[in-house]
Amino acid sequence: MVMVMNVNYQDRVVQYALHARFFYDQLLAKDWPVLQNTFEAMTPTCRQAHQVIRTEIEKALSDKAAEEKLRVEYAHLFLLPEGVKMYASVHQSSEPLLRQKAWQQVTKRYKTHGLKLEPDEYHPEDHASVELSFMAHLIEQGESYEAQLDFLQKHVLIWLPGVLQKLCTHPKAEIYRLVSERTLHFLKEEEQLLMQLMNME
Amino acid sequence: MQSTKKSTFEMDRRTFLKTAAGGSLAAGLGLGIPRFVHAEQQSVIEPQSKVVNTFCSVCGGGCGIRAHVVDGRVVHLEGNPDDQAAEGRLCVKAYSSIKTLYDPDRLKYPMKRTNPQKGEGVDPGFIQISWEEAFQLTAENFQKAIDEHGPESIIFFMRGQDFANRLRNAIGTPNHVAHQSTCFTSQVASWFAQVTGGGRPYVYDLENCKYIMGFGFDGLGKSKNMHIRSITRALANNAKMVILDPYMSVTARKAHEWIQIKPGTDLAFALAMIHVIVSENLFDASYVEDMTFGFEYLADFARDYTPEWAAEITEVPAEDIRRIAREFATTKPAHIFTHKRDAAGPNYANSTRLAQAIVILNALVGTIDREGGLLLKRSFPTPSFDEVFPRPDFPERRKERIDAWEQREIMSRFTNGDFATVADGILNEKPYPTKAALVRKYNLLAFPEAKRMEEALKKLDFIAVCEIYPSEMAMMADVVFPEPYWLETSGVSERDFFSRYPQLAVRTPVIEPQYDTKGFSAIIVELAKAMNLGHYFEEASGGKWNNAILEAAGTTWDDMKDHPTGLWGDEKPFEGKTSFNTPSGKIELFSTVMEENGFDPLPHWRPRREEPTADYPFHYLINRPPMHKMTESQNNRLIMALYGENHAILNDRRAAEMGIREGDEVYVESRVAKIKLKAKLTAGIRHDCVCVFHGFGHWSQGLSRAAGIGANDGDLIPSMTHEEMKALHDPGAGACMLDFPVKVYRA
Amino acid sequence: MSNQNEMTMLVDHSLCIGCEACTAVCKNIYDSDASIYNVTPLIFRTKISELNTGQYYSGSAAGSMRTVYKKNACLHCTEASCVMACPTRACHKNEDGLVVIDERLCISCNYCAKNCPYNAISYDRPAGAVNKCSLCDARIDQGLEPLCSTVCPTKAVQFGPRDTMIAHASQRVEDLKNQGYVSANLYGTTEFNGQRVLMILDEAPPAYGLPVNPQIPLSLRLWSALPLRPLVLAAVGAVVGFNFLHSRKYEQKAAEVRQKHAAAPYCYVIPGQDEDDDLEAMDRERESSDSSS
Repeated sequence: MVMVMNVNYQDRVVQYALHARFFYDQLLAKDWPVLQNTFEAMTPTCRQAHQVIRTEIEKALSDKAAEEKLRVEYAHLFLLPEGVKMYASVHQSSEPLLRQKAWQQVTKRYKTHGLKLEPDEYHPEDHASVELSFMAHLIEQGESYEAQLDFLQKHVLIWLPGVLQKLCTHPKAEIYRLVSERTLHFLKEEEQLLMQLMNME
Repeated sequence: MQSTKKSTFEMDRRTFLKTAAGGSLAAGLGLGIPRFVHAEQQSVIEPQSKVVNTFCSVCGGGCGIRAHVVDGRVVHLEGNPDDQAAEGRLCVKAYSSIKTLYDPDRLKYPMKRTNPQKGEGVDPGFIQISWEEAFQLTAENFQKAIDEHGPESIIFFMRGQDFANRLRNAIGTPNHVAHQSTCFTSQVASWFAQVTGGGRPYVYDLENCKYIMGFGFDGLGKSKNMHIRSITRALANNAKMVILDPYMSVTARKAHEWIQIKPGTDLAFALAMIHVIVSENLFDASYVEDMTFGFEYLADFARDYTPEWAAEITEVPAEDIRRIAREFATTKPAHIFTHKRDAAGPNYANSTRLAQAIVILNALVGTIDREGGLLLKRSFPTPSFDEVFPRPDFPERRKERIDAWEQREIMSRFTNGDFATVADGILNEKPYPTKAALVRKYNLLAFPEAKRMEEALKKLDFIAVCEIYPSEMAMMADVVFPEPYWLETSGVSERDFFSRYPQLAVRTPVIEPQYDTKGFSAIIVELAKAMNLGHYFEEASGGKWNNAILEAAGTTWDDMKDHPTGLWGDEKPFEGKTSFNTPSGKIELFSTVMEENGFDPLPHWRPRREEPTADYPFHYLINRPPMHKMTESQNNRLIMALYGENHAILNDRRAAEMGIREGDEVYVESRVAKIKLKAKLTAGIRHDCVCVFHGFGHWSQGLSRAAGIGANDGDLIPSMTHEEMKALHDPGAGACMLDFPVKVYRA
Repeated sequence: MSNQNEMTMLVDHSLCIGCEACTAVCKNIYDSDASIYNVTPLIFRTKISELNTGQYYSGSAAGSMRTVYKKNACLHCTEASCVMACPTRACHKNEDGLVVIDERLCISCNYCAKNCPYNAISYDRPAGAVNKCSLCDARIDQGLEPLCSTVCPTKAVQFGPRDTMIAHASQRVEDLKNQGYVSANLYGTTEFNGQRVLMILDEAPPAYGLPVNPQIPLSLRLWSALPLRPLVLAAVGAVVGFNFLHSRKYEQKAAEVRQKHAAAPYCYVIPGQDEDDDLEAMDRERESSDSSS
């Protein structure tokens, strides 16, 4: 029987929220205090795992030139065509387009949980940041492990790891390479964890 | 599986929730991440479909569209069956536009450049900024230019638009530079002078025409919905079509006769036709009598323009010229159609004369504003922008422009401009320095001698670009303003490409904008406010203007926004005009307006500007594939699957003599640049011509599908200095888009 | 012979301008993951080709080359070669008499594609099945027109009762002849016992790459007459060949290929792929080595 001793709800939620934040929008100097709190909200082991990212981001956001460099990196990777597209649709359809079946499906999935995106939310429902945020939500709402694993596998793991891999080797990725590596690791951990939790009657 | 066990962790969860004091941890952290709200819980979700009325903006046609949306996704665009422009169908460009709507390469946020270097291959180092910062930055830089160099140091590169016109005038710069000198000013000048006292018409009653002629006219190749429908209807009604074109265009392929006329000599053919029709008394006597002025000059004028004379120049046999002139005059109704970039479009130094001659010929056979010919548009009264949005007086502004357009005797009346001369103005500060620009919906690749224009743009201190794609022009920007795609917007269109009777089309967003975009009118108003010019835009908005347009036509936005067809205007019977807006009130075959403005009142023969030489032995031709829209559609994967690359199209026999095989890489070189393309061989082009299709040669890495494919036809077109344009003394101020020779050789 | 009131498509190539609106919409609808078909990009159900095989008939260009446009898609023959070739009845005629492919039964053997005289069938390798125009059978079922005839901006593609289409086409052919297109003709009224898609041509069929008076080859008739059931054949261990009389020659090669394509026991060749397995190529090689020895 596998002892899953190091599971902590808080860590899971915080990590989903943090990683959602990384892909949601660029990082600015004024974001540092909140990020700092977020790292502090982790348990020591989790915090340790994020130490390098934390240090790099703190450095980047402490200096105007470095902040700009980080913003340029973000734009290259997530806003401009030579980067990656953080939308499930783009990767799960025969053509790389927005709003295809994957988007419709995940939107419906949110509805079955009685949820929809806030009206002025900028990203579409299949954006990585939205799906990761939804995972955090599922955990906080105490949804079953089955529901969590199902969403994770059906709507996140079938496309996001591949995109994160691309980010890890993207020529323009520096800090976001560290972030993507961490996210990849986290998602793998999550899948294993949920499978174990489901097997533990 | 259980849904609520997790015995070991139950404790943790309760504790955790308590710790977060009843709120969610994620929210408590204050991280900006997507938030969810409650929606009606549904376990079985029915597919939802709806149809939204819109109209197309791929070209200026404005065909009415019924957009089919299923579960929030646009799945199909159908031509509006009640629309006189669409008649239930659309063209390939409109059908494919869904892929552009959902293109993940589109611009998503306002951005600013961090790398001061600009040019091909340079990474702008864009970063996302807020709209506020974008307007602030632009306003500051424009103000700096105004303070240090005067308001005229700012250029507006865009088509005329009411809000932009007002901002430009409020700033006090005369420099509104648009593209029309590369497009259709030759036809504008002739129509203005001889018929309308205003702009040129576009409404073609091709379907009722029985003898369709064209000098390089390629209505079928350009694939405008209403043109292809009406031409094919004419053919189905047994019309005869005769097309003169050195290249076997799509229209030439469907023509009964294809005449491989020598490029730039069409004027001689047209003059010979006038000679035949007048000397053999084949003209429509009553139309000429009632509707035209100056017929008595034609006999003398055309006396020496015999078919034999023309045959030598055009390389078309004299008996064919004579026969076609006779057929044209005696088959009723007959019309010579001309649209934009054909031989009467601003391709040659003699194009405006050809446009004049075409007006004369069509008048001689009585099909101007008559069935089977070109119709003047019928439209609703339009409101006055100044009346709807009263404003303070504009400041004084300089008359001299950076493209010397104010010197154009006839064309200066029109809010157009000169893409051919603007680079000279900027680079050489003629007549003064230019420091900043606001650009909308123009790509760098659209300018003649694009590389020179790139240098001109580099000279500016600040460029703000409004766009939907990271195009080459966007790559040169300091600030990028992303606009929504037309399917995401509201609007009203007059559709003067096909108004037999006045009919407006209205649209509402088919889907909400997917990115953080703003409509152009809103961008202008916000920019004005940031420049402390908000008092010129009190209460002004795009929505109010749309409503004003509808009110002037007898309805309102509120009535139309949910209208079942999205169209306003009932069919009215067509009645040909009997008087025209010229000094004589008639169609002026002898143009007094031309004369008044210092131009030849009759289109006497004049050759093109440049002929092939020993060094440059080829004529240059440009055409475009039907499924592409200029330089805008090359990132659309569906369209690129249909037509993916441009070539150097050469005559197969000539190529064999030169040792060039199909697919070989060749250079096509003019006196200003060279481009490299793969050769495509056909018997369907004159032996002394090379044809390159427009729209390719993108270098912006922002266009992931389009970058690096083919070459830019426009690179080869020499731009002009102010003096060169003036010396041409062309009423239409045409950019001579094809009036230079090239050479072709293996790479 | 087709029912004269049967809804029939008429493609008037004299009015086709090659704009590919039909291609674009068909692709958009059938390619989309919103549809049940999920066709792979670059596989087209209908596609326009440019052919430099026409000519001019009037004026000084008379006799010189004229480019024509051809709409390439399944003609839905009454006597369909592909239906005869299919060993699993994936390719079959539905109740409306349209030739359609049931992807669930397709074993990718490509016999249909190889036997179609019009090259109207493509192999959609990623989807694991062959693909062709179905004349929008699902739409016809609902009383709608096929997509291409609904969207064609020049109405070169029309759809209506057969006798109406034929009457209209006959008039068009006559008009075209009067305009000088002396070889104008209507294709599809008798070919393979009549085709559901008729084509007005302004040049003789060979200029449009169309066979004149095409016939079903005897070998295909024989093949089709066999009681084909995959299980039966597997039990018998028979190697079924394109040409029944020659099949034994390729027994060994067939076994190799079957090995390779475990999911396609009767698959001999994939058009364009596995060139070394192309039996016809082997044939040619053998013949040339035979003649040179």
